[in-house]
Amino acid sequence: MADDRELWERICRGDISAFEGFYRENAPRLQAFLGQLLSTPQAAEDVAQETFLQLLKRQNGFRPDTSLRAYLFGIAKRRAAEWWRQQDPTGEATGEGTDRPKAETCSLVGDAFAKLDADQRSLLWLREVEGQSYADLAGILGIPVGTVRSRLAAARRELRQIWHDGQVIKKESR
Amino acid sequence: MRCEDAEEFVSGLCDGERIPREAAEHIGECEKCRTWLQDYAMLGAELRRTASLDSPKNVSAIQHLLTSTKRAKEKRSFEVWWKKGAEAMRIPRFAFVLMLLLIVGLSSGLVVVRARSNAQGPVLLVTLKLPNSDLSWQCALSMNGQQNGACSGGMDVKKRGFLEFGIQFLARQGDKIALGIRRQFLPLSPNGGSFTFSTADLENLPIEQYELEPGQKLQIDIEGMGKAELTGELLDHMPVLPLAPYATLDPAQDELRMISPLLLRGREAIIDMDHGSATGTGKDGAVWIHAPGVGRLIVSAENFPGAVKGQVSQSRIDFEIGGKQYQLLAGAPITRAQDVWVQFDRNFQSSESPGGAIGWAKLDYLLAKQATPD
Repeated sequence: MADDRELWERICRGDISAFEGFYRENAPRLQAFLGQLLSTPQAAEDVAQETFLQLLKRQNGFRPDTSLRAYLFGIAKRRAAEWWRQQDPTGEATGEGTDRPKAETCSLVGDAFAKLDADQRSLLWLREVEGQSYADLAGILGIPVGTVRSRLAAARRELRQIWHDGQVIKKESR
Repeated sequence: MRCEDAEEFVSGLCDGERIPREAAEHIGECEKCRTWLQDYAMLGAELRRTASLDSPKNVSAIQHLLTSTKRAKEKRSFEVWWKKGAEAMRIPRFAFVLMLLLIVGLSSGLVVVRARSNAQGPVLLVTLKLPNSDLSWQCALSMNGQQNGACSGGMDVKKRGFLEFGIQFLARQGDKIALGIRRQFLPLSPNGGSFTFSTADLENLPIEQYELEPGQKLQIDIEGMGKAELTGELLDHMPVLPLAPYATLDPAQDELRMISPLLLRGREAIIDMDHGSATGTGKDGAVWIHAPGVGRLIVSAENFPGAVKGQVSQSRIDFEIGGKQYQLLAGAPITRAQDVWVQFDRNFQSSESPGGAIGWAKLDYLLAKQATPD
């Protein structure tokens, strides 16, 4: 955290190399995460850029007791939700919960993952791929640590079930 | 302990959590829970593996963008297009870094800015005057938000070549406006020929950042062409005719002009090119509109194979295809002609404009593309 605080202070002071390093390290990962939540790679790229902008604009939004990456992903999660709301101004239940992104992998696991709802996808992605701690996940998602634990278990159960069903269907179709 | 009660602890084990002794004992003895544990570990590993495969936007990709080179492509015909406002121009990641760095610079007081009382308008009308030519190009950029903050287009510079140009509003601080500009001049070869221009062409060009103050002239060096002159004027609104804000409503002779068209089939709006516009002059040209998943519409003053006749009434064209009535509505008069020829190809596909696009092109070029969707 001390490193993050120092990095953040350098960015806030306008240290170009500090920001560029942070951007280069995190932009691809952030975009991959958003790619799981949004419907197109272009949307993921756009929201990733907006996320970095917001990070810079709200310089007093970062709490030094959390990690800078968790702060970044938390912004991205909220921006992704906003993006879906803009796609459906009537507020009807399209989008985040029902319009799943197209699976970019042909694997059964990838297909199963794409069928999870957006909250489960983002939670599992942040944990399994990004390696975020429970505490950081709680901060990103705005939920207690205990809820992170139970939701992760539920998401894994759901993923396993969908993956398992997919395997059965594939075997039956042979 | 029941398996259902142990399940959350199985998940916790995958995350390196310590779990209660009772749960640990159950998981150690229960085949079902052990299967879950193995499956969860495998699924997590598989997710990380596929994430590694599906990571095109990695640092090496950014490095590639950093070193992106200009591409000059000479093709059969040329298109002039004006992409839909909200998606008009995308900035590579490196350019985005520069934009953010500018903002960092501004916020940290590195740039001293003078305030000027008349710098209030939320729209920047940009005029690009080409060197050694009477040609100029105008574009209205909104500085309020994401909509209409960029525009781009291609210009046929008679007997000299073809200019691809894109401009995007990046940031504003007082009367200083940061703009991102891409451009490329493709000179005409000695054998003649013509050009095509698509979104991808422009996106592969490097973006350069300029600072413009309304009322002042900015020199833009265009390789192979000379120095173009860019000026900006603040407006308090988006102009009605985004292609040429000071043009008359009356189309020129042989001009086909389509401003923010909307295509209706019966009472259903099937294509909405809000803020997308195109214009071109010449009897051998046509306006085209491509909406992914819907099809491509071609409107020409000349008859061509597969076209039906449409009746023009100011800013409206009525036509019928397959027993269905269509109306094409535009934001300004379309042509001086009373009749035009229209083709609506629902099977047309193109990867050149995944977000939809509108343009003007030579008719023979459009028809050649018709048979070979990519």
